[in-house]
Amino acid sequence: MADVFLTHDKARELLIHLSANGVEAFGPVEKDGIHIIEKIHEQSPINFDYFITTNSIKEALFPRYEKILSYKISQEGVEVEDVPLDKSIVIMGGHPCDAASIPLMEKLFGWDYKDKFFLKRRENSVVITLACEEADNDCFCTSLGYSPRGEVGSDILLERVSDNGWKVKTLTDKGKNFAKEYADYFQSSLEADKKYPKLADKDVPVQFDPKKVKKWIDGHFEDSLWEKIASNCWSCAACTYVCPTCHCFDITDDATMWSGIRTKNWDACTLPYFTLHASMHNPREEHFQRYRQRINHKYSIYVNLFEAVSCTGCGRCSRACGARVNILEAVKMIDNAAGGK
Amino acid sequence: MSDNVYMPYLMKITDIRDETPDTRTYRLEFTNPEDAKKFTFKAGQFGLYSAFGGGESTFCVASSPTREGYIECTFRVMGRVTTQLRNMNIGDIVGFRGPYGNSFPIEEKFYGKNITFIAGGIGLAPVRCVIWNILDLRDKFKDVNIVYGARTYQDLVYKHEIEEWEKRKDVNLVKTLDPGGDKAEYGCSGWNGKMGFVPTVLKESGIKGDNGVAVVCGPPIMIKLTLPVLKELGFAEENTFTTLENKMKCGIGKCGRCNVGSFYVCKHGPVLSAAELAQLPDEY
Repeated sequence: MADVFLTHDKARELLIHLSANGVEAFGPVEKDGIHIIEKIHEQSPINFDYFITTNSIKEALFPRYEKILSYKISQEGVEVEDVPLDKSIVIMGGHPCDAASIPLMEKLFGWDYKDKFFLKRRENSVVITLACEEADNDCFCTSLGYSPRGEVGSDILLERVSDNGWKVKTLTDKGKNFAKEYADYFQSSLEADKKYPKLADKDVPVQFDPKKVKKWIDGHFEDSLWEKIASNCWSCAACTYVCPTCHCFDITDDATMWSGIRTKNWDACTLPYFTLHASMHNPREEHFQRYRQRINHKYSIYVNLFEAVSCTGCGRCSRACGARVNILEAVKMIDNAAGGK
Repeated sequence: MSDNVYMPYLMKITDIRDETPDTRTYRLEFTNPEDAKKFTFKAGQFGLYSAFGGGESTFCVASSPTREGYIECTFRVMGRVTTQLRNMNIGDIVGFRGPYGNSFPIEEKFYGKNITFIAGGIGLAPVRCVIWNILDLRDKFKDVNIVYGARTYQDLVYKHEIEEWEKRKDVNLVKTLDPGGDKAEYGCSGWNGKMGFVPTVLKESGIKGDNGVAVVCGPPIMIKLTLPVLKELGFAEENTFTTLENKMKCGIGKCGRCNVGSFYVCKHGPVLSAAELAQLPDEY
């Protein structure tokens, strides 16, 4: 098959075209010097020159605030209405560590009861991922079996070949159909520039063994290491909001006297009120208990339930932490406690 | 039925009983007869009850699956949702999602056994569901013992049913109040039960664990102190059942807050044996 390329300019045009035509298009925008993935509109300052976006692509499929039903209350009773989920979604700008989170989240939202809000969105979405060009000290995707050029969860992978463009790799039928439908935006040639070498797996060294980490966690629920790891944690939950796989949520009502909506909202296991009972009893009262839950959930509980670690090694939680709690350091400490490499 | 797992059934309040000044029981019936026809549940399961405009709250189904056509829930007024629920009247509409979670293994483990129920305070609600389930199939079981206690006379729930069980010849009921709980200020006049904490009263009750199954629900401290007594009386840990309560929002294994280690109270529980409980990390 002939090579296909996409320039930044055309990608911008495409995202704006999609958003103007009823598609929920998510892409990277630059705001005050940082890059975030958000819903694109006509004026969005789309920019593809970044190392990694501060947030993940999570909110395209799992919005931070989402209506799950609405109701009307009258003298006659209550009428409840469902929420239709028929919009097409295009998500461009995440890295392989973002896309890899999608199959992980699918396991949870499809566990027995099917949460259509995630699953239907997933079904309606095309995921266009940018292969990584660089890695920093917080990156550790390879430790979890992923790759900076990984294809897991993506429909299209874009590999940078010049200042202004990528080589396009369609990975799924969805990706192929998308490239066909919007063929006008793609092109058959683009001059490659040598300054964009491929980032290889070895550029992101493997730093721990998740199997060993799980084994240690399973045998050390009570261990002073947890307090050490979490001693700086403020319980602000920034780590969970930027995480591509953190999925905990709250359900609340927003209502007036006669009508209202019920919503699913991001919540976080690191927040103190998360597990607080009405009686004021709180099973996870201390910082370390909550941080232990976060690591335990990702590296052991998720494995027990779904045979997969719920972490893709993107390192966003470490970058976002104001208190410099670093998940890679934490997991490495556990790995060391389990007996080194 | 909708493919939206968060969509509640609509149920009408058809009966109200105030158990204590802050605890209330509602009888709920489906507004849609089709829903009523299809609905089944088992003893021990729970649901999310919603006051539209307030939100959802998790309680067990307190009525027995042997009583068809309605469910009952008993709740204490604690926060926003329960306050709004408390302010409702007969004919008002409540949302219900469920039934969720596992159930007491009645057929598998209770048939042919002596059954002992131990409950404290509002913990009688989940136990009451099993009690009626067992009493409605009475000939399948041997002795039935109920040990029920509350802080004060005022905190006893299902008072009429306690009287009913007390009168039955096929039920051995032991009721108790914590020391000082029989004062007139709690509405008590002439208490004819025991005075003392549930674990102590259980120990002195003469109940034996041979060929026995126990069901324990109540405040965490009561459960903690009761389990060793049951062991002493000869109840096997595999045949001692309790329920775990944790904060829940979804009830279906997604929202991430009710788990104790890898044990999701909403999916793997809420019912578990003392043997299973001993395996869980101490974080509930």
